[in-house]
Amino acid sequence: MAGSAEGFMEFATSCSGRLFRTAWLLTGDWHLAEDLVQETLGKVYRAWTRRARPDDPAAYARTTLVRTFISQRRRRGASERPTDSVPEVAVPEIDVALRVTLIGALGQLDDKDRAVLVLRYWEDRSVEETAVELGLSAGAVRSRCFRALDRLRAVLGDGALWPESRPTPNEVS
Amino acid sequence: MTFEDQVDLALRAEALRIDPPITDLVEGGVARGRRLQRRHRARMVATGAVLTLVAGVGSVLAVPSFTGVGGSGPVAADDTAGGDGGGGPAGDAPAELDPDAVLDAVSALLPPGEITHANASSHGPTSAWVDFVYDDGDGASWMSATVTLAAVGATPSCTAALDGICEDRMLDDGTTVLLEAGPYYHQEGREPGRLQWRATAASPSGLTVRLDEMNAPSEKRSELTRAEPPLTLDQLAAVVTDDVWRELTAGLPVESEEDRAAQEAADEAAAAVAALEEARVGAELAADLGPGWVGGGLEMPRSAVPSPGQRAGLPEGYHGAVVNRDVFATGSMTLEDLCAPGVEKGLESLPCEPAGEGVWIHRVQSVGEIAAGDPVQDDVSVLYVDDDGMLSHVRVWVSEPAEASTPERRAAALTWLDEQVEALTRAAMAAVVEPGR
Repeated sequence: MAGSAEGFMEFATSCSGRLFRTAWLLTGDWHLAEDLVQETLGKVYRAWTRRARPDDPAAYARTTLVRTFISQRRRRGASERPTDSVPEVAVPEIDVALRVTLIGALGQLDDKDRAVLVLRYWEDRSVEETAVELGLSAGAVRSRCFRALDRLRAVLGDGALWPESRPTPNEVS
Repeated sequence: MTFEDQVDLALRAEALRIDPPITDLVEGGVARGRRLQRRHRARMVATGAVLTLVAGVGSVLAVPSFTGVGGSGPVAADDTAGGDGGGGPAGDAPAELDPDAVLDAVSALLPPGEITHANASSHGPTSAWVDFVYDDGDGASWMSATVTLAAVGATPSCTAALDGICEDRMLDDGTTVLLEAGPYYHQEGREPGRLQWRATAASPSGLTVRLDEMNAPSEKRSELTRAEPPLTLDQLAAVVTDDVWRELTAGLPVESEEDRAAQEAADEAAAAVAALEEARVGAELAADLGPGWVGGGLEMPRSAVPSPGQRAGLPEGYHGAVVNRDVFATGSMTLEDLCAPGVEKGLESLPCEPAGEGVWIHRVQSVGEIAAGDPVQDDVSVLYVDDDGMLSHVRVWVSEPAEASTPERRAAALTWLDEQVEALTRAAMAAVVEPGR
């Protein structure tokens, strides 16, 4: 029912963590990620109260977040680049230099290429789902994904990103 | 572990490593949402007089009454029409057109009814697109709207595909209002009852607003819900000429003509470089297919086409015979995805057939009743998967208009396709044996 924020707080509390992780991978900057998630939640809040609770609020929020990211980046142009600053969070299994390298390499990608990688690998979206969320064709998603991987490989070097001896994600708290 | 696997794991680990500031995010998000609501309310107060008329008795539209279709009476309009500067809400000018605000404004301008399945998206800082299903109680209608602000005004012209009525009107301020109505499909006999009506308002200052409606709840593949779309063309015109569009777009930074031309030139230069690279990919594909094949060049990038000799056997007048190749990294595409049987848009995908170690043949064919003017199409693809799961897919298709097709011609085309399987297999295996193409 339109006009009610009922359920929004619960939704926002449960999904903002994942939205922030996605925003972090997209922006590589703590403050930009925070800004992006708040902007996204603001838009979802208004849709929720103006029209009705979206059928799938998590998917609606994710799509809003990715499109807001691309829209903001287009508006701000190339003047803002991700910083190399990584918040001080102790996760001993992962090498800090490696993390900085990964975020730095992602920052060299075109915004849509970066969004394709994040949706495909972190969000586990299919090619078709990614295409819908980004307003691209499935073929464009595939070609952007290949291009992005090639670019990362060129920056990081094959095998440099995650040596066989590194832990699997399940081992990471 | 492939590089793609490494990227997958590294992204997940990086995302899981951080500790999101949940409380700040939720509080900040709600605060922004409430701020957006306040802005929206302020906008709606500014247009309240018009909205009352729309929802109520309905005043007479400034454009001359359109008599071709409809006739249940115009709703409302502001005679200032789709705006040319001036006015606008006080305060900071927006940096970009807010798609949600466009959706809210369209919703508010419609007669009372229910709106569901709404989407709103940005097409750049000065352009937004929305679509939704509107039901006034007499049947759901899929509607879509586009609002665009450009540096210079455009002159809308009749859409060739909407083969029905098309009339234009000029308002006092120079705004052109184009009203169109006709069957959605232009092919004769194809769902003649599926109607699409549209109004477009284009002002000399560069603001263009378009609203489309149908007599069905989705653009395609749905049952009709009513004989005609819900709003008359005059009602559509009232929406696209409402003053709210001028207010929503006031102060938006519009790209200058010089900037646009410079950007287009840069895009064209980049496209030319990309086209050369894509032509090279097509030449490589032709070489892998073997004698009788040539690269598609700039006209058919990333593709290969048969020489006249190689084309022998394919009936004269057939289209296509174009070969394309995709190579998928391990895990990014599966045989199950590509071989999934089923029918979509008149094309039936048949189950893949094994044809040797790691090789499958996949066929797709037109089925069912095919309307005149639509193509009768047949495809054959070869898929090759290596031991590591890397997959290549090489496809050739042929088609001809249904009215030209005969069983004999189609049988000859299928025979020609079968004769290409050996070359397709060669190209599929070459891509995986020598990856990086």
